[in-house]
Amino acid sequence: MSMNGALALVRALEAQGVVTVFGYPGGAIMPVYDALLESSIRHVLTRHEQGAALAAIGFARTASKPGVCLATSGPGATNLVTGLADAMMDSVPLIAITGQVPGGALGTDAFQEVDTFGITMPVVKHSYLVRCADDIPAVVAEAFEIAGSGRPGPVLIDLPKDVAAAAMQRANPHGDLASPPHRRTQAGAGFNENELDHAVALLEQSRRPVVYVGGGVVNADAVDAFRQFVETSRIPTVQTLKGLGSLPCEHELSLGMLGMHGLPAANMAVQESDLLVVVGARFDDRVTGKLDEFAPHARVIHLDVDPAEMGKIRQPDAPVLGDLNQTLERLAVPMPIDDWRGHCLAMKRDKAWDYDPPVAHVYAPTLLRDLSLAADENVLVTCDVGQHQMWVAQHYQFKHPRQHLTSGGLGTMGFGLPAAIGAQLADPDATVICVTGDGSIMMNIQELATLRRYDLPVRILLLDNQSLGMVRQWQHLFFADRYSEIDLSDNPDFTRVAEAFGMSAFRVDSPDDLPNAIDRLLHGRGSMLAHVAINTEANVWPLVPPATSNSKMLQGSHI
Amino acid sequence: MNATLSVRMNATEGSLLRLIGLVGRRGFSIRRVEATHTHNGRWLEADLAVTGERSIDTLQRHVSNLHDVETVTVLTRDRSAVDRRIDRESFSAGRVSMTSPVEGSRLLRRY
Ligand SMILES: Cc1ncc(C[n+]2csc(CCOP(=O)(O)OP(=O)(O)O)c2C)c(N)n1
Repeated sequence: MSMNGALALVRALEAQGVVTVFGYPGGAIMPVYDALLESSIRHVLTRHEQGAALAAIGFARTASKPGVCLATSGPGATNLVTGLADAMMDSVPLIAITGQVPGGALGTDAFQEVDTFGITMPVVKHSYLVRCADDIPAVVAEAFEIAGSGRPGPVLIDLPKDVAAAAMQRANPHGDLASPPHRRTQAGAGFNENELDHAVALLEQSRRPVVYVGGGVVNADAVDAFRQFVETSRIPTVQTLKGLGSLPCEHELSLGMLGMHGLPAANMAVQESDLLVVVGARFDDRVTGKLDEFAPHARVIHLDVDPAEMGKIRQPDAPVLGDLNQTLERLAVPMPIDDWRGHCLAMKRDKAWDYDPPVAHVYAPTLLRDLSLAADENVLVTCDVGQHQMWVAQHYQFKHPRQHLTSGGLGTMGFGLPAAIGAQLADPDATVICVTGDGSIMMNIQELATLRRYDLPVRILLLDNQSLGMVRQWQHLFFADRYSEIDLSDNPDFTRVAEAFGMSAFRVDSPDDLPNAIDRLLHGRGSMLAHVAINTEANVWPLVPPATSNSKMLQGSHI
Repeated sequence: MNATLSVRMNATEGSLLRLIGLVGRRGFSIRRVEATHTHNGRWLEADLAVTGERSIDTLQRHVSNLHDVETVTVLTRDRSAVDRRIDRESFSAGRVSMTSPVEGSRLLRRY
């Protein structure tokens, strides 16, 4: 096959070390699918382009390298948009390649033409509309560089069909652009000594410091440096949804997740602190609650690689811009804060969760806690969005943040199953468990066919409350029990659905079934679905109402 | 607050759209924009008069994060000065020189 744009694209992906791509074919991307036949790259066919994008995210977050997804023009491309937005919000390196109508047809409302470049602009870190086949190798190289460097994010390459089909003119397909693309140094590569000195001075003055850690630590591959920093300074630590496991959840100094569904000790420590050391986090509204009452007595040291996060939400007293691996090391000083540390650990003890409430049905927090106690570090958990996601965050004892794949910033229902597919392909030896709800699972249920097609032993733990539980909880609390469109009691029989897709499936109806169910989930063979009936009325506690101070946590009954 | 930003970026596919879209999404409305290709179409140089409640420094950093952006300079951030400038410029045709920043703060590369 002579070298056309499509084959050059595939070769450029190979040159980046890509071994797996996720996608779905169609008219405008057909030259690329044809070229894939010439390649060792494994193409994973999902059953919806959103599944491909989210699977590529699961792959990227597990493999710590960019994930790649492909789709055709028009509806194929629009179906990718949720995945791009998810990757943007959670800073995931993702390369999306979309077919496009031929260049001459652009702007003529041609069949399956949409302005993919325009539609996706707000949700990508960068994007390309390739006008010339000879540009392809350099565009791909640059796209990977942009997606993976600094604060990672998604990059779109829109490829018109005629460009994909055109013969390459230049002899060396791996060569540079005729006019080399613009290179710029990534912001945040170095750091400033004065900033660091100032931060250290603030640390030394502090009597009640708290570390608030987010997903940036994972993106920066700085978990070891972070742990070293906490072990040396011995500062009590709270974690965001995406920071969970940065310090093992069972670590003495870990107070748990903070924010809207944060644990009481975590939120109280932050509210009482006189210094917040913010590490790779961004003051999300789900974390801060009412902003001007968040950590009201605290000064702020903010460590991040992204300059635009400095002061975006809260002005730091000491901004420290740079690679966390370097900056954290410089801040690791022992802190004489025995009283404060003791106070935080006492709050943690006093507010310890009751995992044995007097209930007759399965209690999700206990199930998840017990599952994590029986699991090792080789178990990866993907989540969907809703109450079950928050229970995982509160009660699963993560040992490492890479064990936890959750859609944090965008809160994408339907994330869990495709992300599990991507994670399993990135780490074939892992035990991958997708914790989902009866609403979320239906958002990408078609991907059960992908499990079967590739024989992936993903385990689905479906917590069925026969409703859109999180929405029901808000209607209960904030809309005077006026329930609107949250009833899902007419869902299909999920065990039969799973069996129809060739999975094994079993029901868990009583707490007595739990040990057996956990054993099957962790040690059973092949893909399986555990359908767990939980109380329809169960809620997530504590809860800080939106735009309220984190010191005003609502508590409810454990049912 | 009102401010005027001067941006120099690579003239690549959609670069002006990307710039304008970002400024709008990050909470500023654009009162005036003037953009020109320079250096045989290699650069896009744009001056934007913007108004918004949020920090202009944060906006500057967001703009600076765009891959194509080479430099971002806040030329003015003084309410009355900007208002006067816009009043004056709205009557004049063509490109108005912006060479004397009222309160120029050059954006450091790392910020
Ligand atoms: C794609 C998408 N649509 C809507 C929402 C809003 N939403 C958030 S949680 C939720 C309910 C989720 O229900 P389920 O998956 O059954 O989980 P549960 O809360 O019951 O555990 C909804 C509708 C969302 N996050 N994502």
